[in-house]
Amino acid sequence: MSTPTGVLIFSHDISYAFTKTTEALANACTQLGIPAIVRDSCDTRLTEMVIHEVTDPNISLKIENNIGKHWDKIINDFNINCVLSLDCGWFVLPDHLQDHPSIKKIYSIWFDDFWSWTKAPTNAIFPYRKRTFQQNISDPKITHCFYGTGIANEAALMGFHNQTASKLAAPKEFLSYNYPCEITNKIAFIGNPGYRGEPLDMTIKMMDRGADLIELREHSREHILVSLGDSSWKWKDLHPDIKTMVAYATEVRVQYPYESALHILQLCGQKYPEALHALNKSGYILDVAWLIKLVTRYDRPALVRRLYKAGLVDVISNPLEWKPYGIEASNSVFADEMPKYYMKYLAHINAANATRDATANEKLFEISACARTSINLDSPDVRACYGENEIFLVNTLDEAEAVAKKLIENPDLALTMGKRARRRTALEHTWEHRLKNLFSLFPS
Amino acid sequence: MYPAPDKVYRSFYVFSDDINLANTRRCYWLHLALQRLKMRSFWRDTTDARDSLKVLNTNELSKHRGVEGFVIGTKLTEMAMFGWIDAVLSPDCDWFFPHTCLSTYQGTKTLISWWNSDILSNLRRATYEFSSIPEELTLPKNYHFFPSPARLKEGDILSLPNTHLLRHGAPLEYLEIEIDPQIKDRIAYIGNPHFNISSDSKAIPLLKNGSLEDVRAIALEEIFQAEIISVWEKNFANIRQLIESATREKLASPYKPTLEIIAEQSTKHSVTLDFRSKLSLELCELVSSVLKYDQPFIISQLQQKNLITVYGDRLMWNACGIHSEPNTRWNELPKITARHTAHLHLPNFRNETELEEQLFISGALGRTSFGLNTPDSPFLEGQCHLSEDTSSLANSIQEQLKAPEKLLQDGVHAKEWIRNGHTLDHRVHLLLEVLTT
Repeated sequence: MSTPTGVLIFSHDISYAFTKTTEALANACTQLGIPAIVRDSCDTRLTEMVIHEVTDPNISLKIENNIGKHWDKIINDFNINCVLSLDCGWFVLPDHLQDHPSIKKIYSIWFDDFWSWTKAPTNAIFPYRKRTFQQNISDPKITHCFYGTGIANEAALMGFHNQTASKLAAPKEFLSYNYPCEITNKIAFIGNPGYRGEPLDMTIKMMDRGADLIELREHSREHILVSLGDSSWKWKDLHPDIKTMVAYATEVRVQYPYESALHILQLCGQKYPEALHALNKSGYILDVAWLIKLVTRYDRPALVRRLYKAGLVDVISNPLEWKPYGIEASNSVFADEMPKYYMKYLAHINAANATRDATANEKLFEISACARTSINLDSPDVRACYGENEIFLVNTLDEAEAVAKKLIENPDLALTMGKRARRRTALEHTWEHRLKNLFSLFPS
Repeated sequence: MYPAPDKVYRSFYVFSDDINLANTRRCYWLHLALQRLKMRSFWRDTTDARDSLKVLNTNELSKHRGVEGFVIGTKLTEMAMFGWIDAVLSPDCDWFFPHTCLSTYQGTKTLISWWNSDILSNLRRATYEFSSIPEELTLPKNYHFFPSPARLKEGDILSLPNTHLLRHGAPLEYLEIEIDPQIKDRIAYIGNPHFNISSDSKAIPLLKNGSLEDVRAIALEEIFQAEIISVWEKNFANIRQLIESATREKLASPYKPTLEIIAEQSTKHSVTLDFRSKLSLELCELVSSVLKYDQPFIISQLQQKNLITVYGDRLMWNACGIHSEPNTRWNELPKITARHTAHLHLPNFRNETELEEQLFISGALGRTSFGLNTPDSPFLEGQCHLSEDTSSLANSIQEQLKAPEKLLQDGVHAKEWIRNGHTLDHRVHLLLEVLTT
């Protein structure tokens, strides 16, 4: 095995979450003794957004050349032979890094889902010169790393064959923090509701009368099917079987919430091949997959709300987004104060963002690294990371409520499990572990 | 909306302009030093933004000039919301590219310039034309740290706010590196010529065959051939006389800040100058250039005696008739530095800094240096081999190279000297003390 001589890491500083994890990756490289330089692609992407409509193509070319020269200088001066980023953060100048003779390997550690990444206007890319997007991302120099079986499966179906499984992780320094546990009569949830659409009044009423996850998924499914009746979905009339296929796919998703939406569509395609073909050919397949993912959109907010209404949880961050759920969340915390907040509470709730087909999110590892246990929905990905004496896995809201009560009644149990979760993180789940593993793929 | 930070300074945005490798390298070390001091540090570059903005500011795209605020402002706001930019720190004014953004941004308490290169060269990299030192470098929240007493003096003449002395330092991580020397019969010089020599310069043959006085005479001749002088004369009748006496004074006192000389001579010649103006800075550069051939001359002389190996930009050195090994990449710096038993250290005529960074880097890697005695030499506490003039410098090198073990022992002492007070961690600590008191 050979290790990189220097790593160029691309950030996208328009997103704080992206920046935070990029810094964790850079620190992990430093810990491994590999020099790492972080460069932000935000300025250049936003510049491209501005110049996109300019008529003179030479202007774009001139900026591209300047950026290319800058990167070449960094690569040369700092002996860089490896490029790394979350998502496709490195992918700003098509072809440039893939064709660079010094660059031996490019790692894309997927953080967001592919559909959201491509839709974000701030992810502007300079024009394709030699290859198409598909050809670019399929370059054998690139390894796409996916943190869940669903998201990996989805990517494989989209042609990301050069992929590897690599879970998210926690910064190593979290293992050394020892802030006091100040609040033992409540657990905490730090984060937003996930999918940003407002809930229906009916949904809130259902939650109030104690609807559990399956019922809420069914309800969400029904809402999706009703919305197919309006005209906003351009793809729904491409083939007469599409609506039926979506009904079928959402039904499967209710039963198998952790199966990737695209895979579900692929399976449904066996029954409705022409409908699938029409969606695939028209490029709307990801839009439909996204809609199917929304079957589980209430999982996270329902879990948080149930425990909030029972007086068992403090909700922290994004007060405006929680308001429609009748939750008074406290203000967001500084990113570097997160460990303090994790450790302030006895335990945490953790639930995945419905729009991503991956459930072992970064917070799972961060909470554990801070020696706190968490209550999670029982998905195969989460189960693969921690044992049942380290975290809690639940399938219903009733179970979650019971576990939260048990922890508050028995704080020692919560803290003991947290210690075990920290130990597991130290052994298996820091960014150093991930990078060591990824660099084992680095060509000699 | 967000809780107040519990420390005065807890997060730094470190900026480099990657066009300058030395600054980029320095930023990397500063970034690591800040992290060791438990500060949150983000290290980014300004190069792409500068280059993009330059293009946007031209022709068809001039209407998009407002993109500057949008592009930089949007992301800074995002980061600042999470309390990540208490202070901005950079070598020189590498942070200064969107010329209002960081200065006006309320979330940033302090803008720190730790100077290395001269101010004029830095402002030439700005994204717009300037006529004097911009206001954004002179605000109460600006802090200017200078690596030498001469630069500090210059900063005070320019009336820059919050000026402090903060010398160069060495990266802490270099103290842990131990590499055996391979070349014991020649010292090394790592660096580039301090200017691009013109291929028709009459000084080129004299670098080999002339004297220091000869090359300085050529430099003086070239100063008075500068076309800009006749432009200046239109507004300042006595400017030529001022330059004559200033260059004379610079030759007599090479380590006296040129701006101080110009300030004195302008009074004498009744030339009223705004010292912050571009003209004054250009005048300084011109007068200082009377010493520009010193560095290639000394190196050429040593190379002829086979006492030195040069590592730097081959084309630039070849233009001076000097052979150079290729430029040193940053990760090769320890290996190349430690390859020789000792190094040559020469100040840059533009910088008014007698003790350059490479001197500290060599020390951290356990190598002593040879150089010229200057008013700032006492700071070294005897760590270098200093000579009074160029000929005694060559003799000293020749003599000391005969005892390589002694040179290596001096290097061991240099490393201890650095370890005990001259790493970048020490410097950052001092910087934080200044900021918080």
